[in-house]
Amino acid sequence: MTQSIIVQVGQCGNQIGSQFWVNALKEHANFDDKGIFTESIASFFRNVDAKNKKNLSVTTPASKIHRLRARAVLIDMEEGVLNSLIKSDVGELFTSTQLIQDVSGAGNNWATGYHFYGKQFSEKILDSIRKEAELCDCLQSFFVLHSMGGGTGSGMGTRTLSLLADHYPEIFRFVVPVYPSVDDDVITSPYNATLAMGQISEHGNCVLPVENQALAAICERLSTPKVDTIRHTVTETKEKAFNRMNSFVAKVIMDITASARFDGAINVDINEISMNLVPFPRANYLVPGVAPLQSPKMPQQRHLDAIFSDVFSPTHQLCRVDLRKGVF
Amino acid sequence: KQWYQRRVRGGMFVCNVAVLPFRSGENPVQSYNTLLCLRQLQAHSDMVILVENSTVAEEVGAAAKMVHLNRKIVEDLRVVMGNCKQIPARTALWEVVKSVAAIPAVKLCTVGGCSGIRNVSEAVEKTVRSVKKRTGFGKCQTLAAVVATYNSTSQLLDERSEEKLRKACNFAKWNPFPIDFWSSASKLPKLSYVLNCSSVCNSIVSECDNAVLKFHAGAYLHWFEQHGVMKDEFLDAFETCNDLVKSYNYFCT
Repeated sequence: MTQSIIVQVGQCGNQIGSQFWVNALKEHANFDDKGIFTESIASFFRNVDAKNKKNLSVTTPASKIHRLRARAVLIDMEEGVLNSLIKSDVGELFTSTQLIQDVSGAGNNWATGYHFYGKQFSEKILDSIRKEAELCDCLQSFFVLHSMGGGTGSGMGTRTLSLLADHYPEIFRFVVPVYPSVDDDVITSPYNATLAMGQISEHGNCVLPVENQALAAICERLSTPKVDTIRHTVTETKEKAFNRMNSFVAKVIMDITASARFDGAINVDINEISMNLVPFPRANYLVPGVAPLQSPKMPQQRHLDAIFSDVFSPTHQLCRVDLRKGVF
Repeated sequence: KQWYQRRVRGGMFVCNVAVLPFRSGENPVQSYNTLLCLRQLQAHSDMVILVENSTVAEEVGAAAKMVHLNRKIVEDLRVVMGNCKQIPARTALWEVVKSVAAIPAVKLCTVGGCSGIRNVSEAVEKTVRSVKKRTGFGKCQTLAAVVATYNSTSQLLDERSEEKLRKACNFAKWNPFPIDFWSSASKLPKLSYVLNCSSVCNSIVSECDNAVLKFHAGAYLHWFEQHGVMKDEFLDAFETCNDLVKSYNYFCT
């Protein structure tokens, strides 16, 4: 089986990534609760024997999980998000070599992120990625998570993408850019998004655009705010809402790679996703949709036909487009 | 690799079992892959057994899983694996190639088979229906066939059953000995067959048409060009497909 490396850039990318790793661990725990390090879990994690400081390969029969390390590189030009991620439950998944951070931030400016920090941290980013790639038996893809509106996400994200395209041209590059909403508070977000889009179109094999507004609409439909003092209700609902929004994006990545990670009657490998869905090099923007979307308090059994219909409906798409007006 | 084996070992021959995708479509580039693969098979293989996923799925039934389809395909391939009374196992495949794929230009074959619960006659009736379906109920002609009977006494079929099968196959008139009958022992009465029938062209032509449409639009070509497969190879593959259809039309009139 093949491995994938997640590259999380900027605040948005790292927050989505944080939710991704939580969900990935839960998914694998549900699949195999015996604690065996299987090929499916090896696609996103390494198994490290901390005592002997060795990486344990999947080829060792029935090897138990010692300590998991995520196959990831985390990049942010501000300390806050990465520090809170390291202190969180999934912090143990990352080592210091996987973190690339600075203190000042990119100031919501694509040019600062791409040219200033991009040049400054190019070598370090490549070094970090090289180390992760060397620990893979068969590296197949990179998943780059970042926002389009901010400075680090759009600038450093696209800089990292161009470095991956230059140094690892044969490894598939999946990009999950989060587009800003219409009422975004970052005034330069349209500039950042437009400048980043050119880079993504050129260097990304497969782009899965996500819109904040679409995620917010889904959350609003599914959430039921608690009745409490006004201030407490808003804070709790907002935090949970952001986590849920991020978990939808994380779910997309996990679902599209599930067929490659777990055995089944028919398996679709990750490279087949690009091959089948990108007929022309520049037509690499896909529309992600997720079904079923259920409120955790009101889970419903959905028939397979209903799930199929749901996934094509606008209410289940992570990017607000009307599929009926386009050509497949 | 096969070309190398033939050149080095001289007398060795190669038989390919190739599975055609479902007619409803499995992936957008299947037509390209089918034609490029067929081009190589036509050049280097001695016999190509084409298995159509859709046909096998229809014969197995609506609720079939992949494992059932695979099991049916393997059972149908028994006839080429040998173990028949008339032919020693080690030469069975060669006998099938000689009988069914003697003409290099037209060597695409299909396999099939039906089992009977009660007796061989039931298996024969089912096989006749299956063969008629494969030949398009008389629209297509068969160049040659091998039919193997599996029953408890390993006896050959009676004349009446043989005649039914000959009629169902709709053989081309120029071949005086178009069909071989073999037999083998088995608890469950069953018939397996290998047909060289012009109906194989239907699936190939539909994939070719699909591929030509995409080719003219320039779709998905960049994925192939990345690995050195340029437009010339596609044009060669289309030409191979056309030559194949012409050869079948020539031999089946």
